[in-house]
Amino acid sequence: MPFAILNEFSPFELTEGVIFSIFATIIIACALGVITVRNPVYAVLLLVIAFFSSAALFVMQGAEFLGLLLVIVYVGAIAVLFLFVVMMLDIRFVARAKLQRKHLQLALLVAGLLLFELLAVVIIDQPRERADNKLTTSASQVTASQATANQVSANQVSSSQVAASQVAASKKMIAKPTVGLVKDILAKKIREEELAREEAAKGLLDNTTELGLLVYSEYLVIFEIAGLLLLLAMLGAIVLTHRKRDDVLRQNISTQHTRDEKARLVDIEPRSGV
Amino acid sequence: MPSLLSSLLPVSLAHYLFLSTSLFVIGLIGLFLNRRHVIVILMSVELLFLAASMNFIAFSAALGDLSGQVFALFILATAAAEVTIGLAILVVYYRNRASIAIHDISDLKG
Repeated sequence: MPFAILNEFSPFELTEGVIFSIFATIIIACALGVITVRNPVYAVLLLVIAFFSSAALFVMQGAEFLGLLLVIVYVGAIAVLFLFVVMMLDIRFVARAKLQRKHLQLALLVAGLLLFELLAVVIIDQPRERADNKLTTSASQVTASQATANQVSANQVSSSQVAASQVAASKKMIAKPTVGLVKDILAKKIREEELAREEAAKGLLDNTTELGLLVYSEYLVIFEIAGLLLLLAMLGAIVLTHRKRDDVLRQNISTQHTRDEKARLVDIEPRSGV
Repeated sequence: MPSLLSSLLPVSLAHYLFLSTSLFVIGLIGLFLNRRHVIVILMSVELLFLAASMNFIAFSAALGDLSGQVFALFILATAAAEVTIGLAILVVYYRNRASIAIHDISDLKG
């Protein structure tokens, strides 16, 4: 009978709860492993599992694009980079540093303070939410399902409202006077964008498309700056790790071009020697 | 058990906030705990980034606003840049000193 409470929830909620519990447990366990395991290779592998599980949670929340990006970028690139460096550097297994009391106290103080602050916000907000839940769950099954149906429609309404406000915003952009030849092209682009937004309002667009619409319009400048940041990081990594080695022969074009004039190509008959 | 279930079951924003908070604190403790391995410190920083983007995405899903996901995207880009430079510095340091133990890196300290 202790599980009678389960009947109050829809199968969807139950599944969501189970999936969340499983992946959250995996994430926390792996994160603990990352910071305590002595072998860095194991730490990297645990980090990969943690990222994979959080990608699953992202997908469950409707952020499919970011979930996939997490798998591709983190698991595919960053974790492999970590593995490369860990294995390349031949790190000796250092015994865990003797924790100085000072450091441990500081760590626990900072962590405890942060935990308290962050959880306080959540817990303070919790009772109201719990009460709302009680209200809906104490009602009969039928009204509960009706409530969820209402919620779904309310969600749709709110999303369409958001989309409508975005459409209004883009209309405002049209109203803004633009300069010169660019005007027509810009107006056409904005019209296309508006069309796409209207489709979004009907719920025809997926997460990736909506994100793309947002990134390439509202957050365009920040997006470009992020690209610049990545370019800079790439250049920095190359400049930092590049080195000239003496034991490798390389072509030096400038010395080749500025060499002594006396040295020149000479035709030599075969087998005649120099 | 039933009370635990009832507090767990309708997965809400609060659950994701709990998760990301614990993740953040774990990463923070990892920063202090691993004062020997620079690489594990970098991984702890990754955990902090993950907790932050998880917060952004949880709020984005709860509020029905995609901007949170956009910023999670930027966090991802920043984390990638940070890791690249950090590991490059590590490689250069290892080449010069044949060691990356933090104990040896404290030269700059006055």
